[in-house]
Amino acid sequence: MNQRRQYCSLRVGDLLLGIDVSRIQEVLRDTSITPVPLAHPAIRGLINLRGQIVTAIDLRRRLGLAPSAAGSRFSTMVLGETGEALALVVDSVGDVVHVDSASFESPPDTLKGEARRMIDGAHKLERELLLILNLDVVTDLGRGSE
Amino acid sequence: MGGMSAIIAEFLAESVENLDSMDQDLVTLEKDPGNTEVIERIFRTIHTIKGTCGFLAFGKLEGVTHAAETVLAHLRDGNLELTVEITTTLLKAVDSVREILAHIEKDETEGDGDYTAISEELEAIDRAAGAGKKKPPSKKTKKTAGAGSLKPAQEAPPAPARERSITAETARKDLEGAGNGAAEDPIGPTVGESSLRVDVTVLDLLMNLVGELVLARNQLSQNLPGDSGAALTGAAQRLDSITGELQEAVMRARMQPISSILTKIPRFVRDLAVSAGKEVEIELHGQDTDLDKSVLEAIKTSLLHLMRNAVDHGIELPDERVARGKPRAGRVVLRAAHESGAVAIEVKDDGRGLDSERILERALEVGIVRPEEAPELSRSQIEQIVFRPGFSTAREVTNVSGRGVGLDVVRANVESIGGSVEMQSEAGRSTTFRIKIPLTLAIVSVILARVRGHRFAVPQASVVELVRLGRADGSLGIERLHGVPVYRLRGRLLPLVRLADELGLPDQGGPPEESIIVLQGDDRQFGLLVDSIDDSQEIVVKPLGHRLAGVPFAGATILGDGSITLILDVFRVGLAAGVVSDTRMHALTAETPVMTAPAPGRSRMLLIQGSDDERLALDLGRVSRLETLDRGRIESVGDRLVVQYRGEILRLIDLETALPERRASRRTAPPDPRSEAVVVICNIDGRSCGLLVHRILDIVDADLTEATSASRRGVEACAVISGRVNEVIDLPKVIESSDPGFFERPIRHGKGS
Repeated sequence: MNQRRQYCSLRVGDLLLGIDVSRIQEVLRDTSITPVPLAHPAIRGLINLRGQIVTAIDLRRRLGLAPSAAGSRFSTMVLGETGEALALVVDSVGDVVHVDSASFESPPDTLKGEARRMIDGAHKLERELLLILNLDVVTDLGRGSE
Repeated sequence: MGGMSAIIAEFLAESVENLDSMDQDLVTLEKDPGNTEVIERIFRTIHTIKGTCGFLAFGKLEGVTHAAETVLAHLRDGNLELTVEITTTLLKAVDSVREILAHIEKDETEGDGDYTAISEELEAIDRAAGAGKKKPPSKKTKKTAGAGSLKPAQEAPPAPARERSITAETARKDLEGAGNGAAEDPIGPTVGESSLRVDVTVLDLLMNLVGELVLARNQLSQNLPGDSGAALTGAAQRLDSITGELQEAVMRARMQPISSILTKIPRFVRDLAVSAGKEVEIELHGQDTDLDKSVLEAIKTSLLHLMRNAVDHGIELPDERVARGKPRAGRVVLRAAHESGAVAIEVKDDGRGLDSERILERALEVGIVRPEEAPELSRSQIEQIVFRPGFSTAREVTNVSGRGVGLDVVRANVESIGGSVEMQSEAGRSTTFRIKIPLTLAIVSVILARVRGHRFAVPQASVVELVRLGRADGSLGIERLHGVPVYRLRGRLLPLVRLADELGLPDQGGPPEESIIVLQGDDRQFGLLVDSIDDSQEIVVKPLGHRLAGVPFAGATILGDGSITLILDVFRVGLAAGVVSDTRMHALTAETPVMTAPAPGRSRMLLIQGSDDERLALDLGRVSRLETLDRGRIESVGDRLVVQYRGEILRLIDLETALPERRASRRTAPPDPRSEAVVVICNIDGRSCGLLVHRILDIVDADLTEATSASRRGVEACAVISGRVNEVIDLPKVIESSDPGFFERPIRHGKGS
């Protein structure tokens, strides 16, 4: 039973990742982020989204990748339906990708450790792999910074 | 309450309110059984519930209320004397009614609870009363029955017609004062017309919107160009004042009198007292003190806890009270009042007070206090132990207290909303708890401070004062004591917390901090070192998500320029830095006025502990500074110890070797060269020298007139200070014995003072 699926593509480091489009509320570019000292290392800080305070998780740090160069551009994806206002900080946001469920495979073996838990699997695109993020794992930071 | 019909919702809201006041009425009635007004009121409440539930077909509820009503009718008519047992049964009936109502609220059914037992209990009382003679209707009944037309009562089949009409009649009289208007107004009570029930969520939304408006206003007023026309400036000013008024009005709408959470207290205290075999009278004052609803909710359990504490720990058993010459019944007084922008609530009992010996005993047992600390603790410090987690002096776990969950939770709850708890106790006579809380939580005024490029908001409620550092000589005036930076503020040593370090902010090589925010952390003050202080502002607190639960911030806010600022949780910062819970720091800060003159006849002494627990005292007048130094910095020149200190060579004297030994062998191993040495820098005749000591204990005022003669060379006298014998050091002798040429050397004029 083949199904068409839509993912919003994004880039973090060398990785091409996908998030179910229905989970994305909006995308912001180069927003100002207020850092929160002593917070979980993956938390980049807080964003003011029209008067609402949104916790921004840095996907690079979350996936255990090297931090991006200071001053480099980034995009922020505000997530919907997370119960609490959350956003993901990524390097850049690409197009919406339509894929067929038949092309879905388990995560590649090259992924290791924590990152592997956060990837549900991969879709083979023409040139590269689209890794599907498991948002529930990505956004589960445990409690606080302890 | 999604699909609940409006009539049921209304019935529930009204009944729950009435039941709360009924608890209180029953307790009042128990004390004053002849109070017909109160009986009438209780009767009416039950009757109204019964009438409505008959109408809505809630059979069980009707059964219980009917039985209760019958008993109340007997009481009213004088067929029955109110006893403790009857009150208890009636209170139980109220509980059953409440339980059923809660069930109705959940799923609109009465639930499957069995309430025949309580009905039977009530009926038994009824039969007992019925066995006595049937009395004719009371005087009051006759009088009211004759007065004017009656509103038909709700259809409540089981109730005798006479009772129903009387109830309706007196109810209306009550509502309309003189009762003259009763005949003209057939629709209903008039009291409700000027007030309206509003869902709290609507108010919360309103509050949020007002908050946003405040922010928008701030944005506008900050971005208004200086050369705006008069029209624009005028409009902005109007917007400003209207926003202010609106904010106030909405806040007022959220205010509720504190009585709304106090109604349950008399009943609660009564039940506690009965089960503990005690007699307790309760007095409530200032019940109309208004507080924000969210604040009320937040302190509700804490108040109950303090009441429970008063009854269970404070008030003695009746016989014990009589033996002590007190009235049999204990008194618990709760007093609420507005006090300079905050609300103070006091809970006072006239019980046994705190037994500091037992507290200390228990604290030692549980391990909250180490044995070596015990003799140094003052009475007030011991009393503060009751606020420590896991502490309880109850001899055994009773039904109500002694579970080790206690005042620490009260303190934590109150502090979490920016309040404070204080306690005073007079042994054998009274214990008083004072809670101070802010009026509202949603909008707070804060001070904005900068630290290493970050901006933080500090709630003004906990700020005592602001200090700008910097002295004429260029130094900042920060000293170190026990490794903690301290600042001498008008003669008191104020422990400092370097905010940048606490928050782990990287050093960017900027200039050192130059401002101190003096904060009130529970019962002691501490200073927060920040780079600069910007401004004070009214801000709207927005909560942080649970992913940020571990950080020392109470929330965040959006400032006029759209940037986010974190609101510091002052207590968590203080706690993390160890300045809030450290009893030693407490001793040094809260109780030690260093520079004010001691009382006549008393001398201010620095207490020093020797390496095997001997106590030494040094006249504080000789001391210019307390320092900790790396032992590695101490150098030996010949047989002398020196250290480079503030550009000078400072002669050090090891107090332990300078004083003649009383025992032949050296008492301790030589200190670890990597450890820190505590040095008391003394000034004598214009010359400085440092005394190497084992440990500094405290600074106290001591009466030296009772001192006895010296025990050994280098000691001026022996005196009892803080319950221990202390040897008062004869500083010139000590110096001379280890450095005979000291007083012959020329005086150097160094920078240090």
